[in-house]
Amino acid sequence: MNCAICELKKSKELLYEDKDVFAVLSPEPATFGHIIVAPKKHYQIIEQIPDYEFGNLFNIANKLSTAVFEGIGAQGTNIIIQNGVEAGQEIPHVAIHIIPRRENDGLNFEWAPKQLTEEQMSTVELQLKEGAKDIGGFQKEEKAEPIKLDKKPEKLKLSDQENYLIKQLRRIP
Amino acid sequence: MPEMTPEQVKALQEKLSQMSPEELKAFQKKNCIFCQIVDGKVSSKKIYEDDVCVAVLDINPANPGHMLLMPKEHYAIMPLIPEDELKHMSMVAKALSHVLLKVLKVGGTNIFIANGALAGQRAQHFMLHVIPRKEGDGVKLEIPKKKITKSQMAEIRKRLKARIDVIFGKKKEEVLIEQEPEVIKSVGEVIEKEKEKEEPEEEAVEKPKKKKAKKKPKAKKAKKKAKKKEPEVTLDDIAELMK
Repeated sequence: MNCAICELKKSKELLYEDKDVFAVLSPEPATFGHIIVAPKKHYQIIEQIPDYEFGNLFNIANKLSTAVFEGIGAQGTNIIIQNGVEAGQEIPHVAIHIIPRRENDGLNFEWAPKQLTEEQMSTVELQLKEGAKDIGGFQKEEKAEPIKLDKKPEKLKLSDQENYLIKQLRRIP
Repeated sequence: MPEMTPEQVKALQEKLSQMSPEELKAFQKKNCIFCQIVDGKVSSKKIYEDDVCVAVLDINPANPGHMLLMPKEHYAIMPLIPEDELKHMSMVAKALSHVLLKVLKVGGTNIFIANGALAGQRAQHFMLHVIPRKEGDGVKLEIPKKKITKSQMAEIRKRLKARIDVIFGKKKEEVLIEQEPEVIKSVGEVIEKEKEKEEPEEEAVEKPKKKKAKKKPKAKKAKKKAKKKEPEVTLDDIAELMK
């Protein structure tokens, strides 16, 4: 199976790369400087990414967004995640889009608000509150265990060497 | 808000300019509706809250269940948020997205941030939107696709990469010798035009456009390399040089 984002990962022109994350210019940008930041692993939706890895990904996206302001003089950025086909996701590989914004760039990400009754709002509130009460206990990155050495490295006997060096020094008139 | 006289405006500006950063922050906080929501001084439908952030239902939702996740501390824009807090918030956003999928049985979610007024940021308090999505819900968050030439990509990449390497500490800050936003602008114009023109005349308009894109760097390069001969430098050559 070919994944367009896994293909991008192979690009020699990455903007950023670490062990889990890479960033590249979008080949079909919304505006110039449009960056795609993605995990190297082929996660399809954000639910599959470990929490800490998502945190790192997001943090990198923030830094790249700053670079867009300073590097190519954008006046704003939109950061968008499309999670799921119905949310507009086209490639089944998690990605964060960083879209530089300028005056009159022709983009408009505004939505018409939906009118909900007080009752509808309250119903949604109760449902979501119930669902959100277990949030917490985020997965943390496993830190590598410090390597335990069974045997202590033998101490170098420096005395002989020192003596030798001292002797050498003394020999100098 | 009552109209202020020019004198009052001036006095206020004077006052603001004399404030210490702490005072200024306190002043912003006092006048920020979202800080008041966080503090509970303005009522809201809170869905989630912890030490760092609060999620409330958006009163003008794109879809039912649209939430705003914001830091408790008043940060006007995303780059001001400490790394730990932002990481934490992103993990909360991920969890909220999961709640939407599970509880409201929606087909997808969008996480959306507007950084800066031009990007649609309205409030002076950073926030992250978590929006439930269903097919045909009329929410327009598609990302348009435009064409871009390789040389334009290379030019943009060069500028961004230089900045990114500094930000991630891979390179020390250096003053760019050739600060020519014109090149970028011309690239922007090309994108703009490509967007405006429809397909039928693609071929015909392609050429003058390209010329325009090439002209400016040519002139600049010529200036820079005047002593070195070769005034005929195109964006493609620049692209080659950058490899």
